[in-house]
Amino acid sequence: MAISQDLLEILACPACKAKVELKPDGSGLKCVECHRVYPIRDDIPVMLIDEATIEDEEPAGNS
Amino acid sequence: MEDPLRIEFNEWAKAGRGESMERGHRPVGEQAIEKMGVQLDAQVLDVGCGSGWAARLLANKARSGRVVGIDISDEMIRVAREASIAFPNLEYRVASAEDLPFENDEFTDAFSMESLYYYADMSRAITQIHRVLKPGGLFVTVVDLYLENEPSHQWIETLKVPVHLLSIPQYSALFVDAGFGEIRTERILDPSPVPEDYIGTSFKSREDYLAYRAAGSLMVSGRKR
Repeated sequence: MAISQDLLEILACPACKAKVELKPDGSGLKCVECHRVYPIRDDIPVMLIDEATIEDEEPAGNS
Repeated sequence: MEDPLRIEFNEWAKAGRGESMERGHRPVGEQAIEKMGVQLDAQVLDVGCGSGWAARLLANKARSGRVVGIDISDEMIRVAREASIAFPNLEYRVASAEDLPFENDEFTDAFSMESLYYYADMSRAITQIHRVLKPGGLFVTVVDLYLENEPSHQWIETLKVPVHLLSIPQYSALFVDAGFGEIRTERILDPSPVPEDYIGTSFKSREDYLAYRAAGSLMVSGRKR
């Protein structure tokens, strides 16, 4: 995964400007507030609101 | 619906127009970047970076800092990334200038070459750039299409996407409205020769091309207070 940790720290959700976190499987960046998931394609994060999917909270106790 | 700007610039990227844009814009872009006085440890945002040529110039300046290039076209970002492998301090994101995916106060400098007038909501884009700059941060934009450069107006009918034709005072006003201070406007001239037998596609005649060159590119800069 070519997403550097320090750049991840300054990335924010383009919709609500909250923090985004790398999904455990590396497939996208998920906003901690609005739960939009921005896809990572060929290692390039696509930070477009139109391209995001909204993912529900993962069920508790799943990990 | 997919953004028409994205569709158009993906077409440009596939047609290899990243290179011709670099040839056309670099002589002026280099001068603008020199004027910015980018520090070694700067955190720089390149808005509408296209094939990344300016981002690479900026990354050579901010050698112990970082440059982030954003563009609406994923194909342009692909081209930019492939050409920037040797730059560890340079990264790219597919993003819209009108919804920048960064927290407030993150960058010391922002640059945008020949990009602002394509944005549907220019005011919103400039306000977003102001938001992500740190206090004291500098925003420099260069445009070739503006009211006072009359030969540039002929592009409007050939471009497949709508553009904004603004005057120099209108550009300044957008910067004021976004909250910038120390606003400066300046014309930058391209010193490279115009071929005697010019029959390009950008201008109807060599005379138009010469008049365009004489008017120059418009650089607008402002600093976040």
